[in-house]
Amino acid sequence: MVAKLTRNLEEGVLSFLLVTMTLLVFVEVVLRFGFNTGIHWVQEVTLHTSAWFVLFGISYGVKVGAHIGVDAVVRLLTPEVKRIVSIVAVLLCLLYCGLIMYGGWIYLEKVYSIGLAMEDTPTPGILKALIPEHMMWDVFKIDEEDPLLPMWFAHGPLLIGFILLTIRFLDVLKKLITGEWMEMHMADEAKEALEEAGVSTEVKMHDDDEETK
Amino acid sequence: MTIAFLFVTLFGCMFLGMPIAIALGLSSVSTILLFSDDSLASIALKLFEALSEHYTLLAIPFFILSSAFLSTGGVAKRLIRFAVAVVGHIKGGLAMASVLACMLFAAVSGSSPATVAAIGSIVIAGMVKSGYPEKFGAGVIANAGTLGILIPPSIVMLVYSAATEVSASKMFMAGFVPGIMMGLILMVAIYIAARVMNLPSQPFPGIKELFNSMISAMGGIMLIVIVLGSIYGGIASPTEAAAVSAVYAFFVSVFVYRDMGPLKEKAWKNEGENGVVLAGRAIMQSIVALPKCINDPDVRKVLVDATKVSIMLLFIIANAMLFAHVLTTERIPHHIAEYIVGWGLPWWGFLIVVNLLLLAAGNFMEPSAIILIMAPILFPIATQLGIDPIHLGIIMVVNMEIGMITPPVGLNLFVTAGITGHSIGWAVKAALPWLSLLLLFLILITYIPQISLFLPEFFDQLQGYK
Amino acid sequence: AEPIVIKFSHVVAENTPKGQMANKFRDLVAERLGGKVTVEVYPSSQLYGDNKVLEAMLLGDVQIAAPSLSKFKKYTKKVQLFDLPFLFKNMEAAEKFQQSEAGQKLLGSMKRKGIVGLGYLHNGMKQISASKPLRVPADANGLKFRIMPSDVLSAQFEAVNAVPLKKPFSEVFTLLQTKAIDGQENTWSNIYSKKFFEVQEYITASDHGLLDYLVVTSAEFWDGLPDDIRAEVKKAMDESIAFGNKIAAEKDINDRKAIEESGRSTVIDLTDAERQQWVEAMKPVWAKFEGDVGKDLLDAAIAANN
Ligand code: NA
Ligand code: NA
Repeated sequence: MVAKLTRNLEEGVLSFLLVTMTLLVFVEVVLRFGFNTGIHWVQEVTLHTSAWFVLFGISYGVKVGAHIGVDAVVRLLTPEVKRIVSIVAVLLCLLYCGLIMYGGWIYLEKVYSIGLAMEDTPTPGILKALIPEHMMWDVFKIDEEDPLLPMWFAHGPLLIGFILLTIRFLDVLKKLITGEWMEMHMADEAKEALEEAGVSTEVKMHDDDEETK
Repeated sequence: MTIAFLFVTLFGCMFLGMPIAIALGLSSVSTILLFSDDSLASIALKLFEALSEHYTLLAIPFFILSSAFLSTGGVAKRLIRFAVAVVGHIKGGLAMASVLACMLFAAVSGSSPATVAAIGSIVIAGMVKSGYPEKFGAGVIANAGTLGILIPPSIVMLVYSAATEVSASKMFMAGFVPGIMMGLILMVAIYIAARVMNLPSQPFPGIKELFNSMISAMGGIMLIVIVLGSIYGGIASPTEAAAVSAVYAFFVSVFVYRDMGPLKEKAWKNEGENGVVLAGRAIMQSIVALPKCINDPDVRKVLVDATKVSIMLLFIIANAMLFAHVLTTERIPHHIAEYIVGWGLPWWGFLIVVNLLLLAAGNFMEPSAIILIMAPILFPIATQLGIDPIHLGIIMVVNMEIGMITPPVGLNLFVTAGITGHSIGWAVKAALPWLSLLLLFLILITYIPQISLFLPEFFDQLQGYK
Repeated sequence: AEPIVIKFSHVVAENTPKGQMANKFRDLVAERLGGKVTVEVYPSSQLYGDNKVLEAMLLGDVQIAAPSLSKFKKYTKKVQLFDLPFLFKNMEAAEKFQQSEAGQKLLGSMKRKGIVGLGYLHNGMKQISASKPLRVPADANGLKFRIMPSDVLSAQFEAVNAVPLKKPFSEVFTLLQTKAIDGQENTWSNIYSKKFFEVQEYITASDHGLLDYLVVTSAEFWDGLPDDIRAEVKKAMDESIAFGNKIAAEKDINDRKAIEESGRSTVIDLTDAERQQWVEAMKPVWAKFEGDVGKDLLDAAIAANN
């Protein structure tokens, strides 16, 4: 139940971000071509929506096996060795997450302490309405005279995305250690392309099926 | 030492079975940590920059989304019907039609695996039914599918543009002639093979079917016009054209073809309706259906599928940019360039080296990552030797095409194996005879720059300069 | 001891005035402080783009950069001054203001946010190119112009009823070529090097604004340098900037000439009366930004014209 809810939430958020960025660019073209005008913050918002889309999506990608990898070597190993190699691989993935989170934290901290803001993107009215006046600058780093979206907020998903990714890899690690999984579940782009075309076939990795025919 | 560490870690991580993106990222971060004074914070900053500052790359999720709608929404099916009506009656015609359908789909989709999946999943079975050996059909499709990244639009070309600042529109234009040429080469080869193997042909379906199938395929053909037309006709940049194409693909699939979404199986024309009533009903239906799309399982599935592929690809690209950043801060392209220039190679000798390097890389890596890593190294040398940046780009793209049908990492092979239900090994053998054609084509592209440069230069002349 | 490494990151090619200035700085430092300080130049956005380089500098991973003045709006709103249309009648006036007490004080105004200005580097005065001849403000009515992200530039084009559109520099050529946008504003050298003159039929020699760079370093790095070395580095920087500015001035003249000789684009010189119309149409923009910029600074800039 909870798993299904999480999945729906993740897919909903990611689909929303994908549709948003597509429509923003589409609307920009329509406005320029049809109405001879434009919206000055569209470009910055689109680019950051795309960054959020990827950052929130990496962990989801691990869950559904969307990331591609080379399994040519791992595939040659016995199941038990494969499990151990996979554990090492997941630990290295966690190391990567840790390093990026550490760097990301220092970066965001710097951006926050200086109080940098975005170039074009205004702080949405609803946010401004919710924040008490004395906290605008002191806590949220929103400049009241020129209420552009604070950069720590726009870049924050860098940290959030990698925290989610860490949680996901910890889960994979647990499954590998308990033996529930024998390898990192990683599909490939091939399968995605097939599914899009409405074909759901398991890709066979070995030649032996041919000999049995 | 740094170079060795960087590449050994990269391949080490990859062979442990880590996602390619993270293998790229971890090897970059650990190199920075051990060999450079740069901070981890600057690496995080660079990663964010890679994700948020490349307007050209925005086109990638848009083209993927558009492809997803086209394959699910029945556009592929109709393009095939049209292709069969055009060339099906020639000896080996069904195979030739498959190539033509791949070319047409390539002209609306930016990716090769998507092209193989969309067309191959329908035509391979069709060819077998008509008496073609399955290996023959699968081999043709695996190869013709690679045109997805050569005929514009092309995700790989967008990545090359992002890496080198060569205009994406010009790259697109340059891919046109080579793409059509490769398609024709395949068709001629099929014709010869069909004569030798005495393969069947279909009866000519008649002018009426030719016309009807064309009308039916119009939804897809119009997209070619919209994408290329809006780029070269002054409405949109490639990124914008990609967004337009995604919206259009959604519209055609859901409201025109009605193969998916809330209007699925709702007939266009009811018994005894006249045009006015029909139009009125269609408009009403569409207005009612639009909000329903938000919760429609078909539409949601397409979005989720496109999300998965986009995220996978964009995350690889971001990490490959990190990798390229480490190469730059450590001045590695600089050193390699000096070293290669030191050999004193002529331009054609250098291009042999380029092809060998890229073919080798194509065996192991994802095309976007290869381009992002290799372009900074090769580009400056090519410029010094007077090789046109657009020509270099097309050479890289054709090499990436070949990489898609060589094991162990060959996306088109995986897809072909998946469609046919055979093993990867079987798919490799099926694709092999046709691979030699691609290699021949690579030599042509490498040593006759005019194949790639003709169209962009011609357009420049039309505009009246140079 | 290990030499102090200065990473100088910029986004243009090595043969441009900025690129040559950076290389000159590297060479001067090597000559005078060899062994103590090494300058590494990273051209062509190899390290960071202009949007992120200042953040990388604050993190200590880049020591010197030279983005356009308008990129500093995040650090001080006062830099919007330089985008104001028709503020400086020519480059000499801009130079005079930049060297004045007010101009030099502006260099230090971002210290609180961690950045120190080392000097102003010229690109040139901006011209307006378009697909149709622009002689008076009414000619720009309804046309779409690409601008750099800047509220002042937005207001400037809106003042003549044109449509300002923000687009990345890398897309401008294609958008102009395909007539998706009608025009843009830039210096002669950018119009020439980016080949905009090949796809724009008319260029109005308006000299209506300034496009300069600010050479900056991080306060933390700068204050951490030993006094004698800092003085020597600053001296090398001043000389390099003067060198770069000289090249920029020559390039400005040569590139204009090259554009005129190409015959691809018609250069329109404005009569005094026509130019005055543009001034009158655009000058109201000043008042809009007076609050951000500060009256004293604005007055000092106006005074530099005399
Ligand atoms: Na394509
Ligand atoms: Na391969």
